[in-house]
Amino acid sequence: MKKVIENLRETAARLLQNKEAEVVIGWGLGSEAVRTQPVFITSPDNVDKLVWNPFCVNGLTKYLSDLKTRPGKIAVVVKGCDSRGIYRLTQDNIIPRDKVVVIGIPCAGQMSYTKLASKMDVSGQLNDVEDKGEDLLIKTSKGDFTVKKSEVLLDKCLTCEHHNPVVADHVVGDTINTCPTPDNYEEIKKFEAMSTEEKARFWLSQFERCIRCYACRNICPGCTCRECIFDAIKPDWVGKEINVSENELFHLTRAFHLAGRCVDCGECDRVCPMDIPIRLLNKKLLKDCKELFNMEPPGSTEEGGSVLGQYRLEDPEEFM
Amino acid sequence: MANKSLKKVQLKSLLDKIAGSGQLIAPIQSDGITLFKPVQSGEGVVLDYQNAVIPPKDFFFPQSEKMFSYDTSDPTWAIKPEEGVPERVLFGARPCDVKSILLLDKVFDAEFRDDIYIDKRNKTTIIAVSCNDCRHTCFCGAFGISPGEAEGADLLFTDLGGRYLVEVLTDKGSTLAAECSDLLSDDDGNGPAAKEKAVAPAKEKQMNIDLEGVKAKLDNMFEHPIWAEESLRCLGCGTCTFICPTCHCFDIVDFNNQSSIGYRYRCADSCQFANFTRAAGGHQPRPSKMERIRQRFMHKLRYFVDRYGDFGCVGCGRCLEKCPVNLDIAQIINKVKEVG
Amino acid sequence: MSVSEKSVLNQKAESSAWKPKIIGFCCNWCSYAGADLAGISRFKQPPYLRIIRVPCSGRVNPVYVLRAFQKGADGVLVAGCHPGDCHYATGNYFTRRRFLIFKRLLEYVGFEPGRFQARWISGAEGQKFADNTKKVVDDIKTLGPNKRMRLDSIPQIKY
Ligand code: SF4
Ligand code: SF4
Ligand code: SF4
Ligand code: SF4
Ligand code: SF4
Repeated sequence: MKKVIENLRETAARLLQNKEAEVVIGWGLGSEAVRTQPVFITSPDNVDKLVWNPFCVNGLTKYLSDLKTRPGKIAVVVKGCDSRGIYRLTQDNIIPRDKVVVIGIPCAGQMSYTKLASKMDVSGQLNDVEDKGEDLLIKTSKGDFTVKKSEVLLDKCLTCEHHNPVVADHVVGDTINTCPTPDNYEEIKKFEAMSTEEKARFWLSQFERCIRCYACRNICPGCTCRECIFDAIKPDWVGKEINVSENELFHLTRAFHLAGRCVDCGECDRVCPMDIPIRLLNKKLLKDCKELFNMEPPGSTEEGGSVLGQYRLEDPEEFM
Repeated sequence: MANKSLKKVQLKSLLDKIAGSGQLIAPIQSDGITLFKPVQSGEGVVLDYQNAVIPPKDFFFPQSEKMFSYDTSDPTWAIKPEEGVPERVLFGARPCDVKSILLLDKVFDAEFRDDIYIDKRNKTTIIAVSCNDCRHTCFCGAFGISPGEAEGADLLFTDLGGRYLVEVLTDKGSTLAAECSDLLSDDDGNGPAAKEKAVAPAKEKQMNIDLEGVKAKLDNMFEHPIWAEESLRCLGCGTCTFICPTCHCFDIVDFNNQSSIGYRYRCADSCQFANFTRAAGGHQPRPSKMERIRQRFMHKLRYFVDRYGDFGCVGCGRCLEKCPVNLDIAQIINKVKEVG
Repeated sequence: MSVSEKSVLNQKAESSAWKPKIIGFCCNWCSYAGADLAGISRFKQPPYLRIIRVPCSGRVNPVYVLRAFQKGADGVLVAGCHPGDCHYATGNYFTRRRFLIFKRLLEYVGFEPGRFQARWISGAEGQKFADNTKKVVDDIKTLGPNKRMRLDSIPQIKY
């Protein structure tokens, strides 16, 4: 990990020095031991703020869409899953590929803050993290803690298809050789098998508690519309009132707008303050797009685009 | 009224009794998170929780609520006011959340009187519960709030192990205590001392944030570069404001289901949304995240003090915990103190 | 019972007075012409399908479908030209992908199969149009009134 950090800082300093990038978006230490926060480095003197550890959960690609009007190139640090977001943005013509410098870090898996917080005192400052194989030794100002990786890993990392970024102009860190473990959608199949009644009960109680904070939309590299349907006032496609009907309209529409476009970075699910399992909707759409149209995981190649913006003559026929 | 005492095993009967004679709102576990909900009995009410995800503010100022309805096929075009809430008891509010309601009173029940809010306020008896333990994100002490005091509540319960100390703080509280007198006994006099001991861990564990000089400093920080810097990572979502017990901005919208019947409702709005300040014609006085983030922190730590003489934050820690990009108000307070 | 539980299930028709309300988005060039033909040929069909004419079935945004349910539809039908016959050459190929996915999404979150349907009906298929209307109406009658998403029956609790 130390070598990766050194490498990362060197790369960032070099890019900024040589004006190959005007800003580097990466992770810095957060206000608690097992949190990081996105940082924006503009001077080679500040690259020491950049870190890499198993708590770099935030996807950073969405910031490219915020900063796209800045002069000069933008460098962004990505993990495997985040890297698919780069292609999402370039395929959607949000930002030209040559405006972005991608710094890729092969990633063995990231740890969930919620899971960690239930196992240790996370309130201190992080001094160091040591990878002990099965365990992590987390050294903080409030003491040292050992946690079992398998108990605190983000769920999405269990079915990671790209530990190594799919796109990177600079790779820091060694390639990860663990076999990718594509999702076989066992969990989705379980939900599909429920009765109509059970499904309705489950989903309506989830939709009902949504507070429409739109964090799930705002973090998403696929949600880059100039004016989002949920913000439109004329016509007001979706009412602002918080009730189970408008919430359901919001959820189904959000999910559907990402159908065939969601790169499965899992960020929407992580950021939801109400713990709504948004990923179960995205995964269902991924599964169907794969089964019906043979879709590759979106964002895994430079070419491609939106599955629903394309067609084949021999697509399945059910409406005859 | 003298302090009372309630055996812990009797708590459920007490809640059952309250629920039986009116509406009871209490924290329950719902799909893995703690939320305040109307409940039919004491069954399932959680007591050892550390702050519900959504504050009980929602029962006084719901995220969205009808204001009145109309029917244009009625020749008088009469405006039908909404039926108010029933008499109810809010059980389990934490001291910080109780304080937040006092802050909302300054907004909704002072110079300007908001009838819908006041109706809910008048019809609610608040039973607060002291914190024996707290989250690591709590910092209510910074605002002079104590895990064992709850000015603004009607009754205050404190878990003393086998029993609850029941402090009667208002007349409303004393009426409720009288109604439940069969379950309560008089405190033996050791209650207050035992309470201090019971809440000590919460006082100990919480973050130590010192607000000394912060307001004065912010008075001159409107143009400070800190806002541009900190706002870069903000997503502009509504998480921090929608889960905050003191945020109270709302929008008013008319709804008509394409018939003669319609209604007007108000719903929470967030200063972090671009639409919040967008004026008719498209003018946008807060065009970027910089202005919006500045507004949020300035409102809580400066403007609210100017206007109402108190901070607009109670240190409940919700926004620290839930902000997806770790934009932490406690960290901002510390940074404000450091920068020049 | 929690709020959502109450609204979860669409109760079967409580009274026989209930008549299904079905919204049909029909493309101008085929299905709408098919409806016309069914009409002038005097094919018998139940009068519960309310047609909204759209230029192409590819014009139908899934939000329209959800909006229809919100506003009280008991069923929604999207109908367009047969693949290959689209007036705009390829519009309905996109429709096909879109609604294959959308239908599955609706069923995944607990809409009853049949509430939403899609069908290809050409301008020459007056009989198919009438038969299909009968089928959709029968399906919706079996399912009963739709309560899900209806804005005028959101369970209100006072607090
Ligand atoms: S999904 Fe893969 S690349 Fe993404 S955080 Fe998990 S292990 Fe890393
Ligand atoms: S993040 Fe969660 S609560 Fe917020 S809008 Fe999305 S689903 Fe709703
Ligand atoms: S929908 Fe969620 S998982 Fe998919 S790309 Fe957007 S944030 Fe990532
Ligand atoms: S501060 Fe955090 S919670 Fe608030 S709007 Fe910004 S990203 Fe969202
Ligand atoms: S600003 Fe944050 S800590 Fe303060 S009261 Fe609001 S949610 Fe709680």
